[in-house]
Amino acid sequence: MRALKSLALTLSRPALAASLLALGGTGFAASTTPIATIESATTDGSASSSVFQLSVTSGQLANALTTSSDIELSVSIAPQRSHRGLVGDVYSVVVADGKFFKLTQDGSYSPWDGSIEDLTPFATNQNLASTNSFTLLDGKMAAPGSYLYFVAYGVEGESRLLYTPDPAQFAVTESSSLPDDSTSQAAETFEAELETAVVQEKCIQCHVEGGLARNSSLQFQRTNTASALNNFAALSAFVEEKGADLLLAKITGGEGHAGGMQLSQDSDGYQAFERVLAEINALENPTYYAFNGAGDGAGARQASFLTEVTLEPRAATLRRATLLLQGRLPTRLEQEAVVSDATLRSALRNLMQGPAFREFIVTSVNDRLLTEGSSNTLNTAYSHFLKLHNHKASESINDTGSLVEGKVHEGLRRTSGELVAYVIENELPYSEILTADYMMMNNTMNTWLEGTASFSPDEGDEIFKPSVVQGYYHNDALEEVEFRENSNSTYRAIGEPLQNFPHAGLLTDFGFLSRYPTTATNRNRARARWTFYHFLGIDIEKSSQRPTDEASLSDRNNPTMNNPNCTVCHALLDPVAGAFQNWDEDNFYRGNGTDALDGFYKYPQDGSRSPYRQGDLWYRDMRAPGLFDQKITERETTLRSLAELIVAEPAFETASAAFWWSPVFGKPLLDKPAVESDNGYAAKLAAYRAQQDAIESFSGALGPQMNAKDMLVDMFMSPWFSGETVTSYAFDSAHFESKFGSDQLLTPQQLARKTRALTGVAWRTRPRPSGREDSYYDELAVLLGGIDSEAVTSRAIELTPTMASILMTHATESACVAVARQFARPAGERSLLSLIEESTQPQVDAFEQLTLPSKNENDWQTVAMDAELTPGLREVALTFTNPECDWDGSQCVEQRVLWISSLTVIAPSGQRLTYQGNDTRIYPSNEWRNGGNQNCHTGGDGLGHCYGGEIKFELNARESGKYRIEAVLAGRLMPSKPEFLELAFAVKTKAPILSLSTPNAQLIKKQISQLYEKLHGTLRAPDSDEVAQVYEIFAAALLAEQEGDGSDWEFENCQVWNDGYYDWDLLSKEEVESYKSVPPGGDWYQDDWRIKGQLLHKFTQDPIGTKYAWTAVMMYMLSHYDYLHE
Amino acid sequence: MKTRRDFLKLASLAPLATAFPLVGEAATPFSGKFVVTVQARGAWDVTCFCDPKENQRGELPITAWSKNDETQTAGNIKYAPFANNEAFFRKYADRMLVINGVDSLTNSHSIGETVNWSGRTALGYPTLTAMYSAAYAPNLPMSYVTFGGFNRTENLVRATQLGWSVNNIAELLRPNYDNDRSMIDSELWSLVKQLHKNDTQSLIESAPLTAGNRSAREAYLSSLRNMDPLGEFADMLPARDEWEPNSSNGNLKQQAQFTIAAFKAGVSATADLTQGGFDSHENNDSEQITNLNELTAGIDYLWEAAEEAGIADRLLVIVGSDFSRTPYYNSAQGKDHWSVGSYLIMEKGKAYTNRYVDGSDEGQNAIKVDPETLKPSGFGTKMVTSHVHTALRDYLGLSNSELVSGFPFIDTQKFNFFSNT
Repeated sequence: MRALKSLALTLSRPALAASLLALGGTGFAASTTPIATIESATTDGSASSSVFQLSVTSGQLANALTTSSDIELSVSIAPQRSHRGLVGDVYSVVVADGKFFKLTQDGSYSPWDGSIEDLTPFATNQNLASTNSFTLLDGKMAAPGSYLYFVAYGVEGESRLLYTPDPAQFAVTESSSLPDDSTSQAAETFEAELETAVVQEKCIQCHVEGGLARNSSLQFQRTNTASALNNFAALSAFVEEKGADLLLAKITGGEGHAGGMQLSQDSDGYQAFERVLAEINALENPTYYAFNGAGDGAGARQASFLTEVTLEPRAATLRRATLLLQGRLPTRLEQEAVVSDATLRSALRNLMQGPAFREFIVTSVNDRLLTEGSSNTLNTAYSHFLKLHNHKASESINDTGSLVEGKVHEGLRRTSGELVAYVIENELPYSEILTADYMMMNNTMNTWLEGTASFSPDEGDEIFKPSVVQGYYHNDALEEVEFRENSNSTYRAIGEPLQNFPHAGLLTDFGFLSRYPTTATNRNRARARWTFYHFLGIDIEKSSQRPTDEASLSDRNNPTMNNPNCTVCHALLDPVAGAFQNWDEDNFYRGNGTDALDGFYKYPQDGSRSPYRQGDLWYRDMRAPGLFDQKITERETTLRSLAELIVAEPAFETASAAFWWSPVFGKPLLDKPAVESDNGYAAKLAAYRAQQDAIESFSGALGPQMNAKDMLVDMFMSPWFSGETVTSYAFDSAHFESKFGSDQLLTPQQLARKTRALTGVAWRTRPRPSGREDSYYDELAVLLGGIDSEAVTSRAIELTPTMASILMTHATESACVAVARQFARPAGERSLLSLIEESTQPQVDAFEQLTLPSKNENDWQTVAMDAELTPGLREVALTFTNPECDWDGSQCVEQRVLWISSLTVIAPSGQRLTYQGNDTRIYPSNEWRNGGNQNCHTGGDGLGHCYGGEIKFELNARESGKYRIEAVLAGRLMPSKPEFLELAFAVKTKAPILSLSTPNAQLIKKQISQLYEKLHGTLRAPDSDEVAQVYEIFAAALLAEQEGDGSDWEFENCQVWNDGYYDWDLLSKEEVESYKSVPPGGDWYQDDWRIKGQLLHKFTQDPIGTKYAWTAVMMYMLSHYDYLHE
Repeated sequence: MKTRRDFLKLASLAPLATAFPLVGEAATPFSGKFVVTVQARGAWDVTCFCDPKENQRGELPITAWSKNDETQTAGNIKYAPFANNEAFFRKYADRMLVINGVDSLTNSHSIGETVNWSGRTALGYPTLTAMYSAAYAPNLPMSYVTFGGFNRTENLVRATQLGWSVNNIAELLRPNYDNDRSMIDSELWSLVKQLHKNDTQSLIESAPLTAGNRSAREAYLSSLRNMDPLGEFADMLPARDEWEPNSSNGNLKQQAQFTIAAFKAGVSATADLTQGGFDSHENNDSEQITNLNELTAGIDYLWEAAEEAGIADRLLVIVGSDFSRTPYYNSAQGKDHWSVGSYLIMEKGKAYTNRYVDGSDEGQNAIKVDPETLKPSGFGTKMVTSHVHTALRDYLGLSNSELVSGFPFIDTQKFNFFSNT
């Protein structure tokens, strides 16, 4: 296991803030309770009369302490009279969880081995008075339990120690959250004297999300039910970081306070600040005491959200990241290269390239921008994209028009993700996601939007390249050439297309613009709102609560400009909306050729006078374009200007890290908890703060080059990705709130890639002739925990019975196909079942598959196999593995039949035992349940006849050595399918299967062990309980199949058609083409199953039940938690 | 079928297989009310629906329909002569409690959804339906069904999120079965699942997992324990060609079909249905007509399906939106956001229905209402969503639940919405 190296030795800000946040609540005023008064004993047995009194001071009663209680344990020593005035050393020892720890001079605890020699004082050279008080701990206990405290002292000149023969004991129980219930005078003063009168009145004007002082580390919340509490926390954090003096100076206009003087030193507000700051200063940082005996030096240490976390092994991180980013397992070389954190970082970085990585990026970007939910990315009813429009308009004479349009729409829904992927993969500055003066196009888009990229004819639409639109026309550059009623008219260009199309990265992405459309009254505010949210991390809708008094909102004097209740948000929002001024509701750049203003504004329908003036690009009754306090005066490429302003903001970097939180960690980023009285508020706040701290750290990794790979590597290396276990539950509640941990429920697409990569199975996925794919992973996205980018926009992160049920169906339907795929190839070429053969069964001593070269029932052939046996009872089975009947509804018109003349066993000594073909001992005694018809039976001609199934007989081997089994057989072939008969010989041990330790049994267990590693990423030894358990599944399935009715030469109900690539992967191109056809104008395949079935039949034949048994194992593996999560 | 298998005997030998029982995991049958919310997303215009407003002299037109028409009444319920309202209100007036004049305290869609369906503007509270499921039916396989919209559970219960593909689900809820044929022996498959349960339980108990990892495993374990009834439920779902078609703005009827089937099958207790498309900043009336028609048709379908399934007497339906729309048209004949909206609460055979709480004035402003008489009163209280949620919690017996006590509404006036008189 990898231990987290950086134990936080200074209390992190979240912990302080959490402690400071305690306001009122359920706490008691701190009180001191004696817990033990103990008379001294001595180490040499001599008499003594000193007294130790131990007391607990806490906000809780001494018998109700929890892991969230602040506890001060003190001892008061009343030395015996002879020791008063002397100098002494004082010792203390605690027993926690059966282990001893001694208090050291720095206030921490370290392990004590129990010997006097190892005991060291925590206080030395103390002048002993009649009473002497010492603090033994002051903080919180990290774990629940019972703590036994001993105290001792010694004086100079004496070799003995005086100590407490009995311990003082106190118990601590688990807290359900992380509250600090102590009353905070500072918080009370703040709420009473500063929150309303000063903070909401003055500070909030600038020190608020999106305000002029947005980059200050002091940010307040506007009034809501929790603002006092949160604002107090914000103030406390600022003071901790910058100091009280700086705050007081800025309040009075000093230290370059941009807001000038807000309070004079003689004002009530200033004095209230002084009091609050003094009270904050009086609060101490809490210390968490953890006594876990870990090897890194157990004892008192300050804990935080991450310090008690143990990371998964590096190999696990590599595996999970590889599956996430590449949809495959790490190669052996990749695994072997990871020997340190540095090499792991390097390996992770190397994963950030290629098509699978780009797919990860595209999916992740859509999870945020939801562009897949765009209904109409490009309005081709209008003629601005002339070439595409005319092609679509000619649909009645060219039915590819709508097909092309569909492809363009499909591409446009991906372009946002493709742009981000291009920027990241090529290590361009991440800011280019907004500033790019190009967009990404595939071949189809490039053709019809007349882009500047170059594509060779063989490059498919999965390839995207930077390109600039060159086929966009304003209205006045077009002329109608054919009017077409009830359809789109066609146009021709009479002017030039737009030069320098004003691309601005994601801001002008057609998917983004159409996902957040504008209207005559919305006026790009939705686009602005999401721009703030995604790229600056500001959620404007949550930044201010609307007043409840409707009178304050009832004015109609342009309230977004003039009503303070509205301007609080709109002052921030509307300038950014203004930056979208050139983009209209159809996502066109100045669609009418002059502006993108709506007609209702320019030409009011009620005849009123519009403020519009010729040449205006933006509404005169809204704020001018800009961002915060910066104006955008340039008129043509306003979004590019906006992009430049955004990426210059520090918040862009943190927003960038926040953007990638969910895709990397598979868990949502928490909203800031708003209400202090909520259940688990402290835990939620602690989790939120820990996430924000992490985001701050990750964003720093972007560096001056703004290299997103550096940031992503940091994220994958962090405990947020790989925290697996904990060494204490001190932060369990906060961990729970953030769902902290390494396990991620695979998204439908991740599961699809994993199953395809590991098993080969493309579950319910089918290719189309066009190269597109139909996939249930996409179709069932929401049912599998995914999103539809419309109504359902957040992924499920934990299973429900419904999801589990569907995923189990995924497992059961995939398992048999996966096994068939494995056995279709030689063992050496298999990805999963590479250690075993079909004949590898626990009971089998020897196995051989044979072709009987007999051409008719008179063509007798002798076939034989050898078996190396030890003495013991065996069973010999001869199985007819390719029976077939051409059934016309009443009889077999043609049928293969096996004729048995004799079976002979030749012992090593040469002794022979022969059964004639009609010997009843070689037929199972009426076990057949195949409609009452035997598949093998004796014939009146003295021969045995088999139409399928197998015959068996017992072999009692009395010698060791090579046995030979011969059979004299003949076969009737089918004229229409003249293949020879196929047979299998097997010699099996008759001992109970679970007790067998044959080489085959060992091999099977080894194979199971390897499946664990490959499919789950877990190491299970072949002799482990887990492997034994799965081996039993194998054995049970095998027995069940072998005791079956003989009709199951194929899997029971194995639905190979659920795997759309099954035949493509297992058959040659010529074979596939022999039965596939494409209907005219269609984009799907038709299969002739008469041919296809014949070709695929062999892969699902299972004459001895091995495939069935491995199918059961595979079902276990594919439905396991460890398969469904990474 | 095969001969009697040995594998259960084999399994009993497995060291980990005997740790937990093979049986006894069935959930207690649920016999309470079924609670459905219908979320009209995007903000409906209640002046064209259940809070009809007529144009006032000297004021901007509030509704176009009132130029030529008057407010209609069905039973005690007023409604706007708009869309297909007449048929809907006449059919269901006796099952309706209409609460008009509820202030959502916001003009923001996301906060509007939050406050209407959790009862407060700040995140951190679950939906009423999530609470109800957690309190009364936590172990049903899909106790709380949601089709999107606001569906926070605050970890009380795991929501079953469904989308557009409900018509595909039936064939996927019976693992190991294709039609009636199993892929491996059904007893063997049961053994596999049992081993999964045992393994997971053991790991949860023995390993010091992080809370997130532990929670994910608990979800897996819980899912395994509660999934079996879904097989029978699958048989009760419509065949592929029996599903109602999608409409222009959603699949509300399909959602209703699924929900009633889930209730009937005993696998679900609550559901949040959604229909989008109400955000009519342009051409308000035509947008609202389309969407109100689909909404009322969907609700009607829900009730009809419930009747057919024999569970209409146990059904409680709560219809609401993000908020409402302005009491005047904008320049694009649309309407923008307005915080004062309505709830429609429906139940069959109750004394509190056929009741109309008139909490808004002629200009669609919230007015004070006497909490006891539910009549406008200068001494009353303006209604906010927490009032409605408090009353619903009381009515559903949730208020005293320990589970729910963690989500209190502070100092909320009690409104007597569900009185029998």
